[in-house]
Amino acid sequence: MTYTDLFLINQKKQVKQKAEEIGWNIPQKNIEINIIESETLEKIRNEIEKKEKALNIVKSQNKELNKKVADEKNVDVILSPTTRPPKSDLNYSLFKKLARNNIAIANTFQELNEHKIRYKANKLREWKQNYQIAEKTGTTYIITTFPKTKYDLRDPKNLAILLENHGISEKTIKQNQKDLIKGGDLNEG
Amino acid sequence: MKDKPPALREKHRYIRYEICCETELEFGEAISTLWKSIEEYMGVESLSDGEVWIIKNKYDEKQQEGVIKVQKDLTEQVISALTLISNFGNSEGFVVCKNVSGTIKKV
Repeated sequence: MTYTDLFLINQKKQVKQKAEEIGWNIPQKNIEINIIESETLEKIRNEIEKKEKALNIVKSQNKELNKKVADEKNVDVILSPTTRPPKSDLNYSLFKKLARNNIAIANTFQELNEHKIRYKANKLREWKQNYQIAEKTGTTYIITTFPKTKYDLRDPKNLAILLENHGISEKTIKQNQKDLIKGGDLNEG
Repeated sequence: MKDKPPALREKHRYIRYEICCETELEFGEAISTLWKSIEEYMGVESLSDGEVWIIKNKYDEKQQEGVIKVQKDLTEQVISALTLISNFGNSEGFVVCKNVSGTIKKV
């Protein structure tokens, strides 16, 4: 089975080429990805209304806003929801709510790149915690590279080894993202 | 001093890596980043058990490829450490582990 990254679909040619070279599978399906970075719920709702058919991804690090976004059924993914590990803003009840509304949670590999070793360790621990709660509640959990340049990419097999070392299944970069792109039932397993 | 008998010797793996970086790197520049990342990730204890060795002869400056020798049990840890690299000095870059093999010829 091949590895899929949601955020490679609408990338520049250079990035796509490099990604395919190192083993990522880029779906040929035309999907519009709508990344929303607003700070109020109203603005988010407005932007979703404009592009209902797109894959709506909300990027917010506001704890209260994330709670409200979890109730929105038209949101597909919440991206990088926490800022300060090890105290994760995510909890069991929020995950349950997300599972009920078919919303996925995503962490990006870039979160690891930008910081010092202690931060990296805490971040990896936070990912593990998120994964464990997601497994228990049936929430879809994904990890993406979210590349800005081609140097933000990583070999998917190496990434899978890193995640498995920390107790996270490679499903987070294989099956879950494929299901999201297909628009199938996210919580199927 | 006599070598250990074959049954007691630790098994090794050879990892072929490729550096994808903005600039072409010499061995010295590459090795310092690789070591730093491996040290940070594995710590001194695992590093002493792992017998990690970045082989100088096998480094190809044109292709930006090289080989790392490591004990079998710690192969995954070294690959994880290399995955976490995002910079070589001031230039952006990353490392791809292309192949893992038990013999240096095959890798």
